[in-house]
Amino acid sequence: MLKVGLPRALLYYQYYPYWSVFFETLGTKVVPSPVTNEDILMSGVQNAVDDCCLPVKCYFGHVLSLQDQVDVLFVPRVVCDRIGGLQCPKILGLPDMVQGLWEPTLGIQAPTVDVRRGHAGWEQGLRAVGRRLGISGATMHRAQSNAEFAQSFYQRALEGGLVTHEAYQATRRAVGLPAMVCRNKQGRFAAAELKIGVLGHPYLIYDPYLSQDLLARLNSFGVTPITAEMVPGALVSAGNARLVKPLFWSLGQRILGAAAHFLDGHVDGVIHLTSFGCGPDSLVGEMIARWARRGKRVPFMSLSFDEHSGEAGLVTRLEAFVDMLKRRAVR
Amino acid sequence: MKVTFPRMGYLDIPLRSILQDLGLTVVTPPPCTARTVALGTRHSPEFACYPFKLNIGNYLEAFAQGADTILMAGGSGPCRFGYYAQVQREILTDLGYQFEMLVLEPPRGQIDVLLRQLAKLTGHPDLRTVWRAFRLGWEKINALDALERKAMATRAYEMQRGAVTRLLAKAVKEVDAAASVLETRLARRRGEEAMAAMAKKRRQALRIGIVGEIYTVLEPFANMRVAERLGEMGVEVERALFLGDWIRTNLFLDALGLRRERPEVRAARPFVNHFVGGEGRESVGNTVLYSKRGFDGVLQLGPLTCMPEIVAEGILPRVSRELGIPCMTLMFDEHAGEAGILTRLEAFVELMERRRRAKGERSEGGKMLSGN
Ligand code: SF4
Ligand code: SF4
Repeated sequence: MLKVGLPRALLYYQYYPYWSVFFETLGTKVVPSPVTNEDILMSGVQNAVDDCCLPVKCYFGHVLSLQDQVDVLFVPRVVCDRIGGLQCPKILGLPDMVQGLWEPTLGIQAPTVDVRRGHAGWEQGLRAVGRRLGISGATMHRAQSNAEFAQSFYQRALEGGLVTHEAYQATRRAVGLPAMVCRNKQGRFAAAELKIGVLGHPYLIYDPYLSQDLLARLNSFGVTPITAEMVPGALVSAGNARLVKPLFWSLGQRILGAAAHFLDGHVDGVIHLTSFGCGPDSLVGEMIARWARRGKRVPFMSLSFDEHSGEAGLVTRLEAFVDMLKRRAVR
Repeated sequence: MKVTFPRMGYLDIPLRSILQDLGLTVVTPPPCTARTVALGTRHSPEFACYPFKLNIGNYLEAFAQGADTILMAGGSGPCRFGYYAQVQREILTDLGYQFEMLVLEPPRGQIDVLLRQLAKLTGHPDLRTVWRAFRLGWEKINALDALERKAMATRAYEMQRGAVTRLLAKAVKEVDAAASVLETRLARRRGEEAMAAMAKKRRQALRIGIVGEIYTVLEPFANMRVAERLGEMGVEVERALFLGDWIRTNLFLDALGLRRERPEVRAARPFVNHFVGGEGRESVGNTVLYSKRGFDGVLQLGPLTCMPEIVAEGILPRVSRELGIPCMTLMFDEHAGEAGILTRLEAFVELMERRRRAKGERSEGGKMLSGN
């Protein structure tokens, strides 16, 4: 069976249901790279340019970890996945950057996804890939609609409070696929008294290795983490409507919109996770920090992650933040 | 109303000329210094790209001189520049300044929008004045580009160190003072001729192409005057980006819907097949073009954490390997040390020299063989 490799990094965390259901319906075997671990990150760090951000370095490691295990690598070039929302330049250039790491027998499949000006969206992008793999039109059609259903189910599951892995398992059950074995620990979190809004790119906050299990850790401190993905779309849009000029990054839009909602007092504290070397985070984070400072209602903390961040420092800062929130709650 | 704007290379000269001719009072921010950096860094996000920080420094120094209106460009992504003005406005507002920020958003094919934005700014519906102001500004841009081009091409051959830089500064001053298209042309001609007439060393210097992010390439303060330094090390420099080219492709051709495929975009295709924001794809394409023209090396410039240039930086080693052209990347921010940059430049020049000698020996060897 044809094996399609999906690097478990970057947009994987948003689009995995879509991609995997599509390729599985085509009758290919989907092979995601393992959950990020030290070896993966280190090989990424060694093979990407130094100036790169943490998540792209991590992506390189995932591409390398699939070496010789798959026939096709799927590295879509996601330019604009919905009207008004662009991806960051590094995600636009991703297929070009990974060229030369290693070449699977059937190559790197890098469809361009751009929904503006009649360009190809996911549908056309994936269809082109299917065609190159010699799949019939009818099968592709079925794969397409399964994938779309899975993706919308997944989005709703996330908004319903599930964390990526669990939302994904629920999605598989819904489309009638067997559950997947996965060592990703993050599941639904036990409800606790304190609620903390956790902002950041999904590929950082849902990657337990990169984010050093931040979500689960918060939960163990007696906190329910609420991510931007759990905020309903309408509230996210309302938050964005406060901007003088709409933001053009789709990931940033969700983060800013959720931030506005959180800072209105819907949570007890807000944490923004940023990746070292990230371009968009520098501006988006600045906006959030200023809103928080002006609003003075909800305590805010920003945490920057890189390949050297130590666990001890993170735990200390988290504990101090949570303790402070607990004291505030008692008052 | 006193208008100011961020500096970028010689941009202040044509922009001041245009705005003044439109009847506005202009406060030009003083040239960037360590103080500009300090001010900008203190009030900017730590990981913002360097141009953002220098912009903030420019604004604050201009405010101190009475400016109350900022003219800034916008953008529609995917790079940070398109959102600079929005975040900068928040920062300056939180600092307690009363000001207005006028953001010229790229009109994306709508030239009427651009004109309306300008009318709002100037209250000047007189089309003839507008046309004249722009005509002169455009002429100045072309003159400054030509002078800089000439200076970079001749500096390597100057007998007396600093001679070309002095001639350039003089000519730039004349362009700045020129009150008409004709005067501008004369100033340009005089400057070019003076540089051409200068006493010259006779030798074929190394040739290097400079590519990279527009601000860092155009603003000598942001790149620690690398073009000048390379010239003084005896290297002929060509730059892939000039103000005029950039405006032509990004503002006019786009606005008129005439964006055609530029040669650097075509040249980049085997390596980057898509726009990646900023000048990322152009950096790769121009490297290919320089290599085809037989240059000895390519220098890529950008601010630290610059997304499009990081994409290019990741691809350039492959270009370098496949086409056999040495490439070096220099990324700048407020912490960049002059000594470190100089050392790297010297090492790169040495590398190019060694390669050229090796090539020369090889071809001489070839001649001897065919001669006997
Ligand atoms: S958005 Fe930030 S973290 Fe993500 S790829 Fe771009 S620079 Fe890296
Ligand atoms: S091109 Fe580079 S310097 Fe310009 S906004 Fe983008 S990241 Fe910043």
